[in-house]
Amino acid sequence: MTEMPSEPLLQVRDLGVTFQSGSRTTVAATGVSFDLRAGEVLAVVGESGSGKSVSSLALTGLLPPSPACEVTGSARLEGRELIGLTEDALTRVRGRRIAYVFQEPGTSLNPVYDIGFQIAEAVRLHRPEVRDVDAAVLTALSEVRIDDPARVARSYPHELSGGMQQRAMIAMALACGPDILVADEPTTALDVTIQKEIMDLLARLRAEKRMAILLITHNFGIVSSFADHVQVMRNGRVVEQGPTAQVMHSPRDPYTRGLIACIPRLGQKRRRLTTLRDELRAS
Amino acid sequence: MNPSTPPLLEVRDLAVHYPVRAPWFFMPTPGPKKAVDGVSFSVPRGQTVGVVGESGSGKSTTGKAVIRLAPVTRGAILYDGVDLTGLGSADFHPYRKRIQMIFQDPYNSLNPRTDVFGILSEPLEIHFPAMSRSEREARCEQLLRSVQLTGDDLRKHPHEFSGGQRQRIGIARALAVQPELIICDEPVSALDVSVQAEVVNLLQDLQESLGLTYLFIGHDLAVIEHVSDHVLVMNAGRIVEQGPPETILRDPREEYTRRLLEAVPKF
Repeated sequence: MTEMPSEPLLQVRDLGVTFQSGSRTTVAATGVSFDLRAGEVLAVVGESGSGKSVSSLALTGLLPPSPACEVTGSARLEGRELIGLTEDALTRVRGRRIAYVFQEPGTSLNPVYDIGFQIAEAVRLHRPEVRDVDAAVLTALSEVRIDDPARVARSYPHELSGGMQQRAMIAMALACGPDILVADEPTTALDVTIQKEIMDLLARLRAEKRMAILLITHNFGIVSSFADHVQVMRNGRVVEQGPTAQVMHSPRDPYTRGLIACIPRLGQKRRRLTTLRDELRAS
Repeated sequence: MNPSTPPLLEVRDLAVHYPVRAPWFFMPTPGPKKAVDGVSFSVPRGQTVGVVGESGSGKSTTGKAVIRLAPVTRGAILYDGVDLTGLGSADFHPYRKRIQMIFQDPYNSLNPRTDVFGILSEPLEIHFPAMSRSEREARCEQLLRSVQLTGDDLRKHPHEFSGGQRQRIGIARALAVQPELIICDEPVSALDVSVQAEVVNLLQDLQESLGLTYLFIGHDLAVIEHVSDHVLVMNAGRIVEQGPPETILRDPREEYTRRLLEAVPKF
């Protein structure tokens, strides 16, 4: 982005997450650092188990309590330290400041309540000052380009398609007016056409509301068309980070190069796909 | 395609309709759900036909109908010249050996309580009852090696493997009975991109060495383009267009295919 380098909204330094199970210690993430500014999109990419989700969950204490899980390092939201906050203080950060949208809308939504009830619940919890909760619900649903918000508010999750469920999840996140949206694989379970609609929607929201987005994904296509910065993770460590164009077109790390090389691309039919192993062996 | 040799599989006007029950007994019964409605294509021996489409397009149901995992309402499924739809279950039995299937979710398609030997030897017990246990064991070890696992893995259980390794076990199970046609139902959709590349390469190597024929169902257009000799684009139970990937996925004639292609993020 070519704007003035404003003060970062979120400053993460040397964040680490360790899980303790009996006598076994697993380092899920270590040495994770990044800045996130208002209106900016940071993509975190990596394979399953690379630690890309766990560091974003650590920001608002969404991990098991100590001693099962230890979070180290620092994460400052507008200068205020998040790591080590009490549960009460974290509740005021969750939703209100940092909201989450997860991969599977079908499992994130409660099947026995209608959509309107679930959004209203989030509003009541995170924005108790709102008087007209029903109006806030309808506003949120229309912000995600749902044509008939009143009908969707009365619908149960099973009555909606996957794309509509994900819109409802995003509406729920927006209803709390967050500064940062963590989108953890928001389109992995969706068809490409629906994926495009959801990503277009997120792009518009980031532009209109200057919302910062932490996008966790393994889809490099989405990264290159959507993110300002990229962070590549492997085995809990950041192997490379930088502006999207730089990382995508001239990756410095062989692992990043391998990850990009092994994706089949439309219109570039090769006899054989490059594997990560080929690429790592070559370097 | 070579017109002189008949295709291994020929599907003519296939339809799979599911009856829909009325929500209450006094309401009129709605019309059937037409999951697949009038689909025709053929799969030449040794080639790969790719099927793409969105969820609900009927692509998986088409694959399942071929091996009787979905009920055929209308149409013919000619396998090596024989119409499978007219066969009784005893007559169909040999085709269960000749046609195998690989499923999308490597976590749910393997029995968690059986070790790898049990998983691989079950199809052998059914289709090769004369095989002794030691012969089965030797065959299972050889199968594991063919999917780049080792004989030591025979005594392990599914939870001890990664997603990619489990998909390899699924492939080994399909190969166990020496099939001719394998229906690959989104075999790499649940895998990381790095693992996806390895499994796709493995499937192509096996096709070459064993002369396999694939009906490859997927939603990733780039993967389908990579593996296919011929592509079917499906929407709402029908084939929108079909042809070689170079024309279908580069210069589509149909608006629907164009929209699918445009939705793929470029980089």
